Amino acid sequence: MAELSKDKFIIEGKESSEAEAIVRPSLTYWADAWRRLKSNKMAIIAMTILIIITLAAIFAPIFSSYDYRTGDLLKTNLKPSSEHWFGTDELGRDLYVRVWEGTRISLFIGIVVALLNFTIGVLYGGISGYIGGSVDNLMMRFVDILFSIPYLIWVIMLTTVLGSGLFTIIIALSIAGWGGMARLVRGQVLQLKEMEYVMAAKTLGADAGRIITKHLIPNTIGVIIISITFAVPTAIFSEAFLSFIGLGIPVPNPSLGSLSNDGTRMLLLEPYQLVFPALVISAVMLSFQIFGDGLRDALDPRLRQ
Amino acid sequence: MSEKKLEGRKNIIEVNNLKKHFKVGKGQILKAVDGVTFSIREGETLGLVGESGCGKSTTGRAMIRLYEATEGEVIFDGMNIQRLNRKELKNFTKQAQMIFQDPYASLNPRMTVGDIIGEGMDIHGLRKGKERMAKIYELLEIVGLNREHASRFPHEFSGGQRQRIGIARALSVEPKFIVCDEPISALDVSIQAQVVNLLEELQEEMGLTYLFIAHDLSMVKHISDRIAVMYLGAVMELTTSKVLYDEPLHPYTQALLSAIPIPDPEVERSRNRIILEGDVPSPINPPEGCKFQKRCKYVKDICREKAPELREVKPEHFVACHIVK
Ligand SMILES: Nc1ncnc2c1ncn2[C@@H]1O[C@H](COP(=O)(O)OP(=O)(O)OP(=O)(O)O)[C@@H](O)[C@H]1O
Ligand SMILES: [Mg+2]
Repeated sequence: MAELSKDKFIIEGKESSEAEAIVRPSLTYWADAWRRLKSNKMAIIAMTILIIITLAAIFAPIFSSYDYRTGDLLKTNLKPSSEHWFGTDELGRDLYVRVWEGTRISLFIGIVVALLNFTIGVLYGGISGYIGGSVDNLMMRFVDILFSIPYLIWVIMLTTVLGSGLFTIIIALSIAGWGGMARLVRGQVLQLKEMEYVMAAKTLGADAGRIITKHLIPNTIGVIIISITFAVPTAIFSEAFLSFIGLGIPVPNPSLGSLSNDGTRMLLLEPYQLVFPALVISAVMLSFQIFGDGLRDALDPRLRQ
Repeated sequence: MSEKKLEGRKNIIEVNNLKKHFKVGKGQILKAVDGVTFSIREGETLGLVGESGCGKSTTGRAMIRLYEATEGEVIFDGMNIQRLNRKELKNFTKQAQMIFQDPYASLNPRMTVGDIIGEGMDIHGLRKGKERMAKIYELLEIVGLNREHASRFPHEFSGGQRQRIGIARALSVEPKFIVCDEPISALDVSIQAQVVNLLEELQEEMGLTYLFIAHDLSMVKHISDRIAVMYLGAVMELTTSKVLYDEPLHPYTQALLSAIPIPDPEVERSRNRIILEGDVPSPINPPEGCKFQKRCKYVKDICREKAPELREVKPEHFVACHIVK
């Protein structure tokens, strides 16, 4: 191994310029993820369903001539017809408007809770993981304690303090939910900050701000987005469960959960009153799940071919 | 191998009794680096060799202040790097750089190659806009890639190409000293020679100083002017490459050398192999006295009592061993 010079190495069968050429087109992470998501038919169908449901939840109540609060006592428990597409309930309220208004409230709760979880979780988990050591230890024990209290307890406690309502439910579900995101982000940061590319940035003189914004966040954002996608249906379902057991949104405001609850009471007489809210909530849950799975496949670079 | 004239050159970096201990839970202390002393002259390549886990990377990282040293000092260009203020530290990061071991973990997968190479210039505000791009293209060409690669992402490159990108990144701030932490260990043998050649060319052209880390003596012989052999956080022997190969004095160095096959069947057959018994002991609670005692066949009572100091037994030849006279 005494004399090693460049001219002793020849790349056989290829021009040297060719050897350095790369065949695959250069795509950014996001373009590449979108390409993969598009090729996943189920995920695209789920995404389309979610968009349609969201649009219906926003616009259907606006363009309907009925109001979701006021009923016509002469027209109770009507079957679906051209006048009342989903029929009416026992107070004579139009169910079509109520279902979409309920969807609107449920989606609102799901999205707001997911965003609150995201903001608190990313900040808390990010700081905990970045500082590390005993600070990290202390911060995570606090999360463990919070996490060990079920959200039902939070709802009951907060309802006694704040009264029942949308606000209470959002706060309760967020308190119970952000810990999961914090743990996830903390784990990611703890792992990434030991990566050699973070060391390289430090060696080049990068400060904490730069390391966080240029290196840590871009490399965790995929996992975070996936997690948010799954947090939305979880919150919707938790709210539905609370409404179902009577701890949810107070009347006359509907949510998909309270509508289903009303529907079950009339199940034997008027089954359609359960069918429509149940269909929407199932479609929302299933679509979020399938879309989330698709996103995970698209955003997770470990699955890159 | 080119013989460089190194006598009379001044030291660019001095490491004095450097220690780096990690707390590893339950009051246990892991002594990754435990009292290392050496210096590197301007334009020199010092090879740092030792088995996996003996503290080579930790030494290299403490030397560029990626780790705070537990004890001891690192003097770079006359400055104690532990005592730098913010501004001085930032200036230091321009002069001392590192090339990393794992070409797959050392490049941020979300950044383009151009931004990876340009990061140093961005941090120090060295060049902007067109000038910055021009420098990135220049660096890419220097390391044997081409300018079209600037807009691509790391995953599109092979291990050897990635290592070249890592080299370009280190060069972007025009450093004087580079820690090469096993830059070729993860590469194919044919690519290893190319990367070593590149590093040598760069050294010649830019007057760089290297600490070249490897776990295998055969990898550093070619590139190093002097070699330090490390074992369990301590330097066992330090001398010029030639002397280390021809007259190794420390029993550990002798064992390492005899593990390298010689490409001559006659010699190879008649050779007496020294087989090291046992595994490297854990750096958590290492033995009192000489670190190598458990695997040394010449071990005496004094080796268990007192850690040997690194002594200059011949000019330019340092050994830490009670047995060597
Ligand atoms: N951050 C850390 N915390 C705790 N222990 C560490 C840390 N970094 C390194 N160590 C330990 O210190 C010892 C020396 O590690 P180091 O990475 O310096 O070895 P090395 O000689 O570079 O090995 P390799 O050839 O495998 O790269 C090892 O036992 C390792 O487990
Ligand atoms: Mg190492």
